[in-house]
Amino acid sequence: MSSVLAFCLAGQGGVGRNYLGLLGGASRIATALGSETHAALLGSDIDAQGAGQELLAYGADRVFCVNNPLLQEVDSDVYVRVAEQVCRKLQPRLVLFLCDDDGRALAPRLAWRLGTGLTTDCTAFDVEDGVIVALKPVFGGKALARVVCKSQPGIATVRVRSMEALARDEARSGEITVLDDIAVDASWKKVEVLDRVKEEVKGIRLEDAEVVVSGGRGIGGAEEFAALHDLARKLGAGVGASRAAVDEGWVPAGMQVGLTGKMIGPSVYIAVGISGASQHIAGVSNAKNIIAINSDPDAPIFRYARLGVAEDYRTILPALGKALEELMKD
Amino acid sequence: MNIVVCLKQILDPEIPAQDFRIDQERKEPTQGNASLVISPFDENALEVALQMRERAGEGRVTAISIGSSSGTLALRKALAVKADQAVHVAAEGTINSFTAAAILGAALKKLEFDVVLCGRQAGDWDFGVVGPLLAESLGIPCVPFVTEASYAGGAIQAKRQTLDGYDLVKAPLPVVLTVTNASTNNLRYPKVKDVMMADRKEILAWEAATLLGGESPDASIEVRDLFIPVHKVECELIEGDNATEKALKLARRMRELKLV
Ligand SMILES: Cc1cc2nc3c(=O)[nH]c(=O)nc-3n(C[C@H](O)[C@H](O)[C@H](O)COP(=O)(O)OP(=O)(O)OC[C@H]3O[C@@H](n4cnc5c(N)ncnc54)[C@H](O)[C@@H]3O)c2cc1C
Repeated sequence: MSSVLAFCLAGQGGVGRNYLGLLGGASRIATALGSETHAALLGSDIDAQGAGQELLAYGADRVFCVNNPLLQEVDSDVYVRVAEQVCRKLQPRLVLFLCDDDGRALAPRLAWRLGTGLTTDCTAFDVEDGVIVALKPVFGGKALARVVCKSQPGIATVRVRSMEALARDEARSGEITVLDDIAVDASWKKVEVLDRVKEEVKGIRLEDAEVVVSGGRGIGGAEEFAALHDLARKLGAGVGASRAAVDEGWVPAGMQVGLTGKMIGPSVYIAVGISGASQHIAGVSNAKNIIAINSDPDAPIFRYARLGVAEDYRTILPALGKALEELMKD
Repeated sequence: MNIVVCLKQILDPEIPAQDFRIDQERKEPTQGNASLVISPFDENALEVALQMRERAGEGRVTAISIGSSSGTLALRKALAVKADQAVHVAAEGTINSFTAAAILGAALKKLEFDVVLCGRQAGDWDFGVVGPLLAESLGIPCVPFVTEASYAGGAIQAKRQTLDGYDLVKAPLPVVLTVTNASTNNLRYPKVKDVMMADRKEILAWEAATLLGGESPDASIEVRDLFIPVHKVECELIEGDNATEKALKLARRMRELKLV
C-alpha cells in the first residue's frame, strides 16, 4: 500500500509539538489518497517504543525508527544520506518535512538525490483525482500557487503551525519498526560545531505567548524597545520584532517574526511601528486578533488589524499600558 | 581564496500587497511600477562575501547571475561594491530552482571556487532550495542560515543562526553557505566613483544552454495556478481628540472584546 511519510528529525531531543501538526497533515492527505501514514523518526538515544507509541496516538499507522549516536545533531550532510536510504526502502508516495531550519536544509538535498521535485513551505494539500496538489504561498504571501509534483515520491515541506494535529488517541495502534539496516557513517559529517551560543530572551518565549507585542522600524532604536517590554510585562506578553528591527541591530534575530523568522499564533498580536509587509504578516497568519499602532493611517498593517490606532506609538504605549493596568484590576 | 556569490534579480519584493498583480497566462507577476532589485538575502550573501575577503586580506569575489540578457543590474551593483568579477549566464524564460542549481553547478565547474554563497531564499517564489541543491550537485557540504563567515586555516568558520542564538561552525572547503539576514550583513552602499567604474567593467557573458550541454534537468514540479488570496478584516480605527484619549479608548475596546 502506498504511503505518506512524515520525517521527524528528533536529533537528541524528543518529538517536538510541531511534528504532531505535520503528522496530522500527513494523515489527512493519506486518508484522501487511501494510503497509510508513516512516520520516520531519526535521532540518537530515541526511546523507540515510547516515542513511537506517541506518534501512533497522533495518527501514524506505522513508525520507522533510525537510532544512531551519529544522529545526535541534525546535520544535513549526515541526515540526507539516512533519509535517502529510508525513502529507497519504504518507497513512499509523498514525503513530508517540517519547514523549519532542519527541514529547509534537508528536503531539497533529498529531492536532488532521489531525482524528484519538491515544493517548500506548503500550507495545505488537496487530492484531486488522485493527484496531490500543494498550496504554497509565494511572493512573500502576496500570491498562492497550486503546485503538483510530476515525479515520485513528491517531496514537500510544511509550514510550521499550518496543520492541526489530530486528537491524541491512545487506542490507536500500529507497528513500530527499528530500521537497523540503515548505514550511518562518521565520515559523512563535514561540519563541526565549535560553540553554541544562546541569546538571552527577556520574558516569555515568543512561540508560547498568548499575547505578543512586536516592534518594527518605526520604533526608532534599541533603547526605545524598552517601551514594548514595559507593555509586555504588564500584559504577560512576549516581545517580537520585524526583520527591519533585526537588521537595524536593535533586537536579536531570534525575535524576528515572519516568513523567515518565527511563525506564531498568539490570540493577540500588537504590531507597533510595523508597516505590515506580506512577509511579516506571514508569521502571524494564525494570530486571532491583530492590533496595529502606526503613525501612518495608510500603512498596510491596518488591512490586517481588528483594532488600529493611527498615532505615534510614543504617545500611545505609555497611556495604553497604564489604562490596561487599571482596567485589568477590575 | 575564491568566493562565488549567486545573485538573483527579482521584482522588488517590498511592493505592497494591494499593488501586486499577476498574469494568469504566464503564471508570473506583472511588473507594474515595481523596480528590479537583487533579492534581499542575496544582498546579505554579497556582503558576507565582501567581509570574508576583507578579513582574509586576500581573495576574489565573483558574482554570478542567471537571467534574461537584460538582467545585469544585480551584477553592476555587485561590481559597484567591489566584487572582482561578474558572470552573467543568459537563459530565457522562467528558470526553476532545479535548473538554476544545475546551471550554477555547471558554471562553477568553469570557475575556481572555495566558497559559494547564496541567499537563503529568493524573495519572489520563496522556495529556498538553490543553495542546498547546488551543494548536492557539486557533492560538497552546505551550511545553511549563515550570518557571518571567515576563512581560517584552510577552512571556513561561520556563525549559523539558530532559533535562540547561533552556532559557531567550522566547515571544510569547498562549501556552500546560505545566508540569512543580520545586523552585521546589510549590504554596504557603493561609492559614487565605484558605481561609475562598475558601468565600464566587463561582465563575462555565458549561455545556460552551452553550460548544460543539452542536458536539461527536470524539476518535476508544475505550477498549476497562481492567484491572489482574498483576506478580509474590517479594521476598527480608534478615533479621538488626542493620543491619550485614543490610548484609553483602545484599552477599553481591548477589554470589551476580551483581548486582555
Ligand atoms: C524573502 C523575504 C523574507 C522576509 N522575511 C521577513 C520576516 O520574516 N519578517 C519580517 O518582519 N520581514 C521580513 N521581510 C521584510 C519585509 O518585506 C519588510 O521589509 C519588513 O517587514 C519591514 O519591517 P517594518 O514594518 O518594521 O519596517 P517599515 O516597512 O519601514 O515600516 C515601519 C513602519 O513604522 C511606522 N512608524 C514610523 N514611526 C512611527 C512612530 N513613531 N509611531 C508609530 N509608527 C511609526 C511607519 O509608518 C511604517 O509603517 C522579508 C523580505 C523578503 C524579501
